[in-house]
Amino acid sequence: MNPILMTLALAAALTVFTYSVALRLGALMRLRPEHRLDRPWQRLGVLLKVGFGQSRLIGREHERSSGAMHFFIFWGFVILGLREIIVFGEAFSKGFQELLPLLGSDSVGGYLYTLVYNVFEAIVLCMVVFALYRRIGLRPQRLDLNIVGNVILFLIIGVVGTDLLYDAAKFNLIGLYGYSIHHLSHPVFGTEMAWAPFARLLAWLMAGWGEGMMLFLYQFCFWGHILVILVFLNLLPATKHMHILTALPNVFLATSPEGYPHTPIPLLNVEDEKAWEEGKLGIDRLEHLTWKQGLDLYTCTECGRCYDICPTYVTGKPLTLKWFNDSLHDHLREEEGRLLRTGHTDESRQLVGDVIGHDTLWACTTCRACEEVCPVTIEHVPRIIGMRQAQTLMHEAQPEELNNTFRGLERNGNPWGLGYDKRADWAKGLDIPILTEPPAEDVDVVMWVGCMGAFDARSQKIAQATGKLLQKAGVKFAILGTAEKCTGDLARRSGNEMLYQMLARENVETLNTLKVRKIVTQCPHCLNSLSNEYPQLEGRYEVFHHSQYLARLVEEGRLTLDPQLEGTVTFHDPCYLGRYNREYDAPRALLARSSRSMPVEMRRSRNESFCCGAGGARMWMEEKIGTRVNEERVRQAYEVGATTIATACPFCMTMISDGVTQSGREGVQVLDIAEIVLQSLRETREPA
Amino acid sequence: MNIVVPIKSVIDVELNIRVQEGKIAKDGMSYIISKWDENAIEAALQLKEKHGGEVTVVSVGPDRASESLRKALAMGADKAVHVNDPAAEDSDSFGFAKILAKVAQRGPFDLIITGKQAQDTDMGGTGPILAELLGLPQVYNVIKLESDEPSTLKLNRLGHQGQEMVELKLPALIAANDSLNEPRLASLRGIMAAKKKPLDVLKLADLGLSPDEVGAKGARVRTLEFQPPKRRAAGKKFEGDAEEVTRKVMDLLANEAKIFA
Repeated sequence: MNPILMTLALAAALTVFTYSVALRLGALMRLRPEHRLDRPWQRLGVLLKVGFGQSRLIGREHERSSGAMHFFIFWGFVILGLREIIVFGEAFSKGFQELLPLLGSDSVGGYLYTLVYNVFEAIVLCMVVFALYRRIGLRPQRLDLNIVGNVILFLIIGVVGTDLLYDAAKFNLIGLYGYSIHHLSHPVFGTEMAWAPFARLLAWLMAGWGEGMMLFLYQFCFWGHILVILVFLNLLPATKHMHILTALPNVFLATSPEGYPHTPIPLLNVEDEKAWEEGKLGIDRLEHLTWKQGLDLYTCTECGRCYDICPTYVTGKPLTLKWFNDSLHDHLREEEGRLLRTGHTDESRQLVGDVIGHDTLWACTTCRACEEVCPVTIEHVPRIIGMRQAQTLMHEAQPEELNNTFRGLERNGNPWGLGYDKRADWAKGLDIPILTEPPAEDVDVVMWVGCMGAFDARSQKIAQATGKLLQKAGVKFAILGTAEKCTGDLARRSGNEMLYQMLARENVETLNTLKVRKIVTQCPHCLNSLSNEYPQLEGRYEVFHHSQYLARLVEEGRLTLDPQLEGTVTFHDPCYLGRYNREYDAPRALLARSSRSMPVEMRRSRNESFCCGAGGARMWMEEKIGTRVNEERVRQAYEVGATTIATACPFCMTMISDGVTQSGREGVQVLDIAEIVLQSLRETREPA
Repeated sequence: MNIVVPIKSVIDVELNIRVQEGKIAKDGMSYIISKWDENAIEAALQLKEKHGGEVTVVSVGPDRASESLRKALAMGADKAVHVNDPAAEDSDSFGFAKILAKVAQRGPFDLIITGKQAQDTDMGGTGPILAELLGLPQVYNVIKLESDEPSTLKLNRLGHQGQEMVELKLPALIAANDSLNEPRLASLRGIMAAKKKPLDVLKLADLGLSPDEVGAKGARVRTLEFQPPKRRAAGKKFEGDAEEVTRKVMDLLANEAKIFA
C-alpha cells in the first residue's frame, strides 16, 4: 500500500483531530480548578468496574439488552484499536504485524488475536444492527433519535465491514489466485485464514466473483477503512460521541465512586467580598464550572438513563436531566472558543434564565438517583447546588416560599421558626437527660433529634420510639435539648451557604464544647450533615443512623424482637440514608426481624429507590408542576400490595403519609423502623 | 425621598414567655424586629428604590437593639440611629415618641413609617403621638401603598368595615399593616454592605433631652404587673358512630357549654 498517501491522510486527519481536541481541552483548562487525583487505587477500581466492566450498562436488570449491546461494542472498540495499528502500519511496511511483539507469525498470540478480532467484528456488526433496530424500530423513550446517532452507527458498520471484506478479499487473493501477500503462517498453528472464521466465510461466499473484483475489494476496502476511521475519529470531538474519548477518563476522575460517600459540597467562602463583587459565588455563568464539570458535559452522550430514573421527570416537572445536560453542553460548545481565548463566557447569558429554566433548577430533590445510574459517572447534583448558590446568594432569586423557612432557621434554628425553647418538649415525661456540660463521657452516645423529631407531631413519635428503645437496651444517652439547631441541610441544598455555615458552626461549637464523640440520629439528613459535611468545619464525630444503632443493639442481644407486624410490608429507602450514606441493609434487617411475613421490595428500591419528593429543600417549596412525587411513590408501594410502608426518615414519613392520605386507600399504615421495632420488642423479664 | 423608620426590638413571640414576680423573665429570650416594623422597613425600601433618597432606621433600647438595627441595615436601610441610654428604659409611648421626634428632627425627612403597633405590648401608641409631636398628618393601618411621584402617596387603609383610599401629601407619618408587603430577607449582599454603613449610638443628652422627661420618671402610663395568659383547656376528641357522636356533642354543647342558653 502507498505510504505517501497514508502519510498525507494521517497528517491531515490528525491535524484536524488535534486542533479539535486541543480546543476543547484548552477550554476545560480555563475553568475552575479542582483536585481529582486523590485515592488513585479507589479510582482505578471504579474504572475497572464501571468503565471496563460496564457495570452500569449491563448491571441493571431492565436495561440489560441495551447494556449488553454496549458492552460488546465497547470491547469491540478496545480490541479493534490494536487492529487499527496493524492496518495503518501495513501501509508503511508490508507485514508490519511481524514487528509487533507477540503478534507475529511465530507467536500463538498473533493467531489468537486474529480469532478474537474476527469474532468481535462479527459481534460488533450484530450489535450495531441491533442498535439501529432499537433506534429506528423500538424507539425507547429515553433516547433522542437524532440523525447523528444513526450516522455514527453506519460509520461503525463501515469500519467493521471494510475490515472484514478486506480480509476476505486478501484470503481469496492468496488462496485462489496465488498472490503473495503477507499473512501469518506457521507449521503448527497453520495460516491466519484458519483463525478468522467470519472473514473466511465471507471469502467463501465471494469465491466466484473473479480475480479483478478481489483485487479491487482488497484495495478499496483498505483505503475505505482508513477513510472511515479518520472521518469517525474527527466526528468524535465535534459531537456527543466525544464520550468515546472521554468516558474512561471521566470515570477515573469521578468524585463519588461507587460504594463510597459522596464528596461534600465545597465549603464556600461567603465572606469573600471580591468573589462576591465579581459575581463568582456559586455557578452563575458557564465559566464558573470546574474543569471536571466541563468534562462531564463533553462526556454526556444523552443516553437518557438519568432521565427516566428522575422523580421529577416521572412526575412531569420541567427538569429532565438529559436536556439539562444537553442545554449546558450546547452552551459550552457555543462558548468553547471564547472560553479558550479569554477565559470568560458570554456575560449577557445567565446560566439560569437563559440556558436553564428557573423551575428546572429548583425541581431537583437532590436524590442522586441520576448519579447512581449514569454509565459515565456524571455528577449532576453538585452542579445544581452550585447554580442554586448563585441564585440564592447573589441574585436572591430562591423560590419565595423559602424565605419564611430561612427566617425561621435564622431566628429559632428550625424551619418553622417555632420557639427554640420548645425543642426538647417532645421528650417530656420520658426521663431523657439533657447534656449541658462536658465531659460527655458519662453517655455512650448523644441522640441528635433534628427539627422534625423535635417539632413535627408525627415525627416526635419516631423520636420518642427511638428514645424508648435506647432506654430499653440500657444505652446511656442524652440529648442536647434546646442547644441543638437545624444542621442546615435544607439551607445548603437550597444554595443558602451563608445560613448553612451559620447553623453548622453553632452546632459544631456546641458539640465540640461538650466533647461529643458519638451521635445517633433518626434523621438521614442530619446524619449526612453531621458525618459527611461537618468535618469541613472541624466537627468530627462517629455518627449512626438509628437503624444502624438499633440493628447493632439487636445483634448484640440488648434488644430482643418477637415479630408482631402483620400484613405485607415494604421498605422505602430514604435517599440520604441509602444513596448518600450507603446504608440499605440495617433497616431491612430490623424489618425482617419485626415482620411476620417476608418484607417485599418495590420495583424501585435500594440504590435506585424513588425519592419521596422532600429532599433538596423541596419539602419547603410548593409542588406546583406536574403530579406529586410522593403520590407516585405510594402508587409503587401499592403495586407490591403493601399494607405497611416502612421508612427511616421523618421527611419520607411526612411525604409518604400524605401520599397515602391523598390516595384515599384505607388500611395502609406508614411507620418508621423504630416504631416497628418498638412494637415487636419482647419485654425482658426480671430474673426470677 | 428621605424616610425614617422607628423599629423596636421585641422578644420573639414564638418563645414561651414566662412571668416571674409580675415581670417578664428575660433569661433565654431572643429578640427580633417587631413584625409590623419589618413591613415598615420593606415599604421604606421599596419607596427608596423607586424615588431614591435615604432610609434611616431608629431604635430606642438597650445594647441588643443594635442587632435589630444591623438587620435592618442588612435588609437595605442606609443609616441607623441607636438611642441607648438607661434613663430611657421603661418609657411609655409618649416617652418613646418624644425621643423619636428628636431623632427625626436631626435631619430633613419626608416620611416616617412605623409598624401599626409593637409585637410585644400591642399598644399602638408611639406612632400617633410621634405624628402629633411633629405636627404631621398620619394614616394608620396601611395595607396598600402606591406612589407615582415623590411628594404624594396613595394609600389604602384597613378599617373595620372595609378599606379607605387616601391620598397623602408629604411630609407625613404612616403605619404599616402586615398585609402591606412581604418583608425581604437580609441577603448576603445586604449583610456585606451593612458592615460599612453608619450606626450612630446616642445618649439622651445628645438629643437635648433630660432624663426626667422620658423613661420611668417621665412616664404617664405605668405598668403595674404582667400576668401570664390563661391556658386554654385541651380539646376533646369524639370517635365512633357519627349519629351517636353528634348526639353526644349536641348534648354537651347545650348542657355543659350552654351555648344555646
